[in-house]
Amino acid sequence: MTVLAVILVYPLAYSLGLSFYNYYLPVPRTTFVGLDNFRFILADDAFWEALGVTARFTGAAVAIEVVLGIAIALLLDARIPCRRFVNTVVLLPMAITPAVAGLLMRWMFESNWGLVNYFLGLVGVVGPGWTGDPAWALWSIIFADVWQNTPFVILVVYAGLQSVPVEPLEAAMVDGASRAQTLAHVVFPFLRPLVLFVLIIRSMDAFRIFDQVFVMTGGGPGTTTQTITFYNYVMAFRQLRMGRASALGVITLLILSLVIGAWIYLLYRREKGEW
Amino acid sequence: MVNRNVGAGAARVVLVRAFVYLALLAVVAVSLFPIYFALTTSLKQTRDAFTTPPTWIFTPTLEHHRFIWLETPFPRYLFNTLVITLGTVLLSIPLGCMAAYYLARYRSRPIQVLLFSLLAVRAFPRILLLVPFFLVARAAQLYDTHILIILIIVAFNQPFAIWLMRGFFLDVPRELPEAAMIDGCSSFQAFLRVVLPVVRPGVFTAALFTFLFAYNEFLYCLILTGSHAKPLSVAIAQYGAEKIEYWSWSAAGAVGILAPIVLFIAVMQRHLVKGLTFGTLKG
Repeated sequence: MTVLAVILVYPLAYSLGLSFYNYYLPVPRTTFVGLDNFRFILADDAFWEALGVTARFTGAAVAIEVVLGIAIALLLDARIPCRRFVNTVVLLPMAITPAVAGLLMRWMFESNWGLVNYFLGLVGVVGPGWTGDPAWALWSIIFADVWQNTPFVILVVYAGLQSVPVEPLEAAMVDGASRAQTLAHVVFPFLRPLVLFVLIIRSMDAFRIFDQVFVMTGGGPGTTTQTITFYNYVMAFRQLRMGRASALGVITLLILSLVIGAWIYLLYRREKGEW
Repeated sequence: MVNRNVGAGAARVVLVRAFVYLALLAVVAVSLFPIYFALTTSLKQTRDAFTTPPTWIFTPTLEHHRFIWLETPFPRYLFNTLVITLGTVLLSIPLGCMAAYYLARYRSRPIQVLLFSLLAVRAFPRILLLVPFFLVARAAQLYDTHILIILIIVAFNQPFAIWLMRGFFLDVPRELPEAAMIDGCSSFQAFLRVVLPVVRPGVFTAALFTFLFAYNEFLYCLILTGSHAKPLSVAIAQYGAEKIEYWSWSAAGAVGILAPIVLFIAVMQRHLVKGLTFGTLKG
């Protein structure tokens, strides 16, 4: 445990320290520059753009995943044939290597021979250039993420549905509640903590998306799909600005803790108030 | 009147049923299609692969699979992936087991806080640690070694593994190890011989997730490995070739990486679901 803590905490401290230095990798000398790195990033348009891209990505992807996930979990909960097979297939994308999933999705969204545009063509829609089109590139990645991560939502919600206590369901039936009413008043309140859990986990994961961006668009076209993590990667390992990249990392950490903290606080507070 | 009502009701039930099946069919199709597409692309002659409309019927060829696994460095990357995944599981699970046991037996306030901070690791922007990892690894001459990657993945995996196994350990009655200790076992023996067999499913599930996590790791491997320790996930992402067959080869590589996961999930589906739901509901 201690060793593990060291593996995580020491680099964190190191990184924090580094963020106050000017460290350009090819030049072995580092100079203390105080808050210059932070000042640079806060004045950097690319940073704000990356933040916006990340926020749009996280918001859209997580919203679609949660809604779809709950819907599909409800479907799976109905009595269906070959349940085992269906469950396996539906959960499969979750386990696939994200880099490979990104590759698969890049092929699906390929504008000339990709299957997405082929199927769109069948129903008479001329598909956009997807990953090559500034307006649609981010959506390609959002769809890729939805494909890969909706199963996680399904899994947790489905598990929740399986363990809804029987008594209130029976009571609702005795009282003559319709299926919709039962869902709204018995099942959903029970699911709520799970949905919150999923929402938080998925947001945290989506916020640091990298693999699919790297494989599908490389941040492009231009910088239209450059997320915070990707921008940080570019800064550190293409521009070799180690100090500045550390500062960006620290800023990201602060933003993330603030957002997640505020969110958990608000959600759980409301939760307590209602109970 | 009554009859008609029943008839209408039955019709509605059939309609709802049909809707549910259709919707599920669509979900299954969407889940499978990208995988199916990669598989067929890897089996098609290159000239059939990129036609519009797609060629649905074709003479399969294993040529691309043969090429990628025999005439490129992919076997080397496979070996690296195996070393990294096995190393991670073998290090992560025994350590995590003991930590989980400890955390489950002694429930105090600081330990609850510790548990929560463990989970917080999940939220962590991993890129922040990448720069220090990279610089330290270079200084310590660990760059591009398996052990470096294993240690890092273990550190990130541990919170989840511990948290998952703790749920299973919580269900073991306290009396069990105590009885064994009265019978003359040391506390470690009691853990090993009495408690561990009971929680085997939990340990198994944690091992499965750890395996997947290590197998799928990308960002750290991308930066911290080079020609020596590079795993499959990075290799396939960086794979490029000038020739037109590139797509076919790439698809063959992707299918090779997918195949173990698909088999794995098909066989282990129940364990994965049970393990995750168990941990989640306990959390």
